[in-house]
Amino acid sequence: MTSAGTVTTSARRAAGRANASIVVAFVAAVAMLVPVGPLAQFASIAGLLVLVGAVACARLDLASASLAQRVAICLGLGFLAFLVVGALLGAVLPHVGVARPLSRWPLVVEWCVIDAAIVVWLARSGRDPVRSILRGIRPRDAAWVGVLAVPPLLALVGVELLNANRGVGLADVVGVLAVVMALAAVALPTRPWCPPRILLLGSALVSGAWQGTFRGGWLAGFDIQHEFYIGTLAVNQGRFPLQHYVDPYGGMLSLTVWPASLHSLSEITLRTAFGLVPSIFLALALLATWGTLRDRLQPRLAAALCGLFVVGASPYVQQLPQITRQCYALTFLSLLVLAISSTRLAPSTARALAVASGVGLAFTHYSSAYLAAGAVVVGCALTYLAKAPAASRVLTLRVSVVIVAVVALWGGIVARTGSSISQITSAIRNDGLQLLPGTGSVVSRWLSGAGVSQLVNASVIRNADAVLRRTRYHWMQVVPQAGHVPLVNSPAPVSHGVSVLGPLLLAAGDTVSQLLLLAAVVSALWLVWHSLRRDPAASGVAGIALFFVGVAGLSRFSQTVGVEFGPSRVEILAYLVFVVATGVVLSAEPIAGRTSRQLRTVPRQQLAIAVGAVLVVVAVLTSTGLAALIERHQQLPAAYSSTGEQAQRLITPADVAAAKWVAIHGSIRLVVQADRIGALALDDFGFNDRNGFFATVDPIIVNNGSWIFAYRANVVLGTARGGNNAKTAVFKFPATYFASDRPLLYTSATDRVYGPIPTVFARGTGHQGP
Amino acid sequence: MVSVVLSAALLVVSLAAGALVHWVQSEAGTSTTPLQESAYFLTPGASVTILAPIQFVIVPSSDQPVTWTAYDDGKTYQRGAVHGTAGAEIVVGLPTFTMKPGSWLTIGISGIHDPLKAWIV
Repeated sequence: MTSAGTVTTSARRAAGRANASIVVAFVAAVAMLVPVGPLAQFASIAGLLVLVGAVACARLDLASASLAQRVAICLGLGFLAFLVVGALLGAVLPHVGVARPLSRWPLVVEWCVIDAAIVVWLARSGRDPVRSILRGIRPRDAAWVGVLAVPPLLALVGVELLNANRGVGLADVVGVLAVVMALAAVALPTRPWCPPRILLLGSALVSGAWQGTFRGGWLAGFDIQHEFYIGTLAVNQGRFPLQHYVDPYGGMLSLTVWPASLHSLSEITLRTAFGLVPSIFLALALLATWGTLRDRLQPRLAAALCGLFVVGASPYVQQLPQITRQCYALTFLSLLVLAISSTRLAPSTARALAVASGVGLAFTHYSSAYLAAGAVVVGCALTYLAKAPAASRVLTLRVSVVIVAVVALWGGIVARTGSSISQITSAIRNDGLQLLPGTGSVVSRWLSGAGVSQLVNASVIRNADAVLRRTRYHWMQVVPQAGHVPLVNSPAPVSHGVSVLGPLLLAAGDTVSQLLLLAAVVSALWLVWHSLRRDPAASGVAGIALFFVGVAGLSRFSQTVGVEFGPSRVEILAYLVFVVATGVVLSAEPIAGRTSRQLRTVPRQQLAIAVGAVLVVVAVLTSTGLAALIERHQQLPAAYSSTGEQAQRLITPADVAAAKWVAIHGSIRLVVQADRIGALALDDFGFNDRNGFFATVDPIIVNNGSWIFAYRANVVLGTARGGNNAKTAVFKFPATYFASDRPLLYTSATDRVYGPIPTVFARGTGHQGP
Repeated sequence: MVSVVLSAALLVVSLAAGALVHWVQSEAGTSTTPLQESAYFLTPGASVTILAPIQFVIVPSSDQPVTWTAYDDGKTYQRGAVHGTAGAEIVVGLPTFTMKPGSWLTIGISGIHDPLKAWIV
């Protein structure tokens, strides 16, 4: 006993004497050189981010910042430094003879040199910035990190089992675990033995996100396929900017330098880099939000707000992991909000953090950056209007100008986003804003929003395709019999639900989301009034909240903006602002005082906790997709089901292999067609950028000379999807028609590639050439 | 010195944990994606000519032999079997000079439902 105690004490003394920064530097360097196993791969990147971030933080005054704030700022700045170093080396070194500076050994050498330089500085100065960042962390917190890392790992195993048709049990368990962890974050008492609430929320978030990304066996989702292609280009070219590529995607460091560096330094696959890492950054955004809220609120209330606005937001858990660039941008947005609204950061530190966050936004996702820049302008204007004391202003004129300038310059010169912006403006010019689309009362149209992914009857799509045939596709040669092939509806199975609980849960979910929106709008407007009348210090966060109320409203109610940009993606950006705005309102003197008077008795406090916990459970049930299993006639969530509309939209490795075959064997002049989901597998090989690619398999707009790519759902399930972002139909894939007069060039158990109709059969109508 | 020892200890723990994850994955049978059999024409196009042999590729999903049968206008034209390693491409040559122009050539492959198909000219 004495011996064990002595050993423990000696170990603690040794750990206390060690320079944590040097330890991290050594571990990162060795893990980089020998990236054996997933933990070593993780250690190489995480070690570098922590080290570089901590060194950057050494320049800031973080003495008063909380542990959550320090960790979030450290990782955010480390990530930004990583991007900047990668971009600079990727751009400069090719001119001095290093052809591919973002490939493995050049990167390893570059980062080992930086690592060594930092170690020398640490040894000479005697400083330990990593220890400063981690100050206050307790051994039991580290133990909880280990324990709460288990549910996300279980989520990955659950997905693998579901992909291999080996049962849905584990996936269900993980989904329930996520809900329970979110509940526990709100309901648990504040005791030393309890897990930290933010770790519970983070684990719930990552578990929910990781249940979706690898579903199908490849990467699930729309945007992520094209992102994967950009990442492949970056890895192959090993430099930045990409050569011979002008799409704005090529100008985002989150899709180029970052995945290429991840792949090269740690030797993780690109699929892992796109599938797992972005969700960790979503958790980092959650951490920053938590740190911001905890400045002002009690832990339980902060957990409830994070549970409702972040972990309980469906787009955050289900969609964002499939739009990886925005995950990184959200991290910087949450840091920007932290900088603007924190009461603990020194003004100079907050300004530096605001600028760094703005730069990070510009580098990672241009549309998020444009919105953030707009918010900064409004926040700055309100700051001056409210006459906030100059010494405490964060959004000063200089800070705002720098952020807007960096966003504009990067977006205009490097990312070249002009075409994307003109696409939206021309859509507005042509179609107008199309406010409150659809039919019914104003209230029902409010509830349905812009409805960008409406499922419609196949006849609607056929009529639309007939118009396209006469206009956009008038050049196509199409055999006359194509017109006689009907589009037959083939709806996917939906949930049976539970008779009483289902409608109740649906109503509760809708109520919670509407209440959140209402709370956000009221908070933003009240904050504006409050900052102008009483508390000018709140003007920065009031301004950005006001801006996002306008933008979120526009994207929700304008069909044109919604189709081009996606209301849920704007909603997520807005929610990261709204959650803080609501927190600021709840902590403001008149509201906080009244609330504490209302909750002065224990039964009332317990009732408030119970209500908060129920609201969070309802929200997280919805965001994880579990609610869809209970509600009636809902789309079955792919995370818990192998049938249903969502499962039919999954891409398998066999689909990707077939798409790769098309990319290799089809010439660039060839016209290739696939349905809306089959197109995603082709997007992994850059078909999104090809002129001769059309995402439709409606026979009346399938060219005689086209290759037709049929993926798993077309071949095995016999269903296809047509339409556009606003209206989509599920219909029977016309396999018999295509097989009747087309060669079959590629075949497997799940995929086919039909060739062009032989000339002898091709007596079609139309004009020449696309 | 303390830093170096702690670094080494952390690295050993990382490697051990990595090995554990790999072991769990292999035990659960989820560490590899199962291969799928596929076949394709080496030079794909709208039609094939009888003037030169055509070549098609079989990619087996296992080390077991794969059989194929070519049909000309619905009649058996030629049969064969290939034996290779899983995932490796096997190129098969098929003489076409006795085929009937103006008909469909189909090549059925064991394990794949839909045959390759080409128009003969």
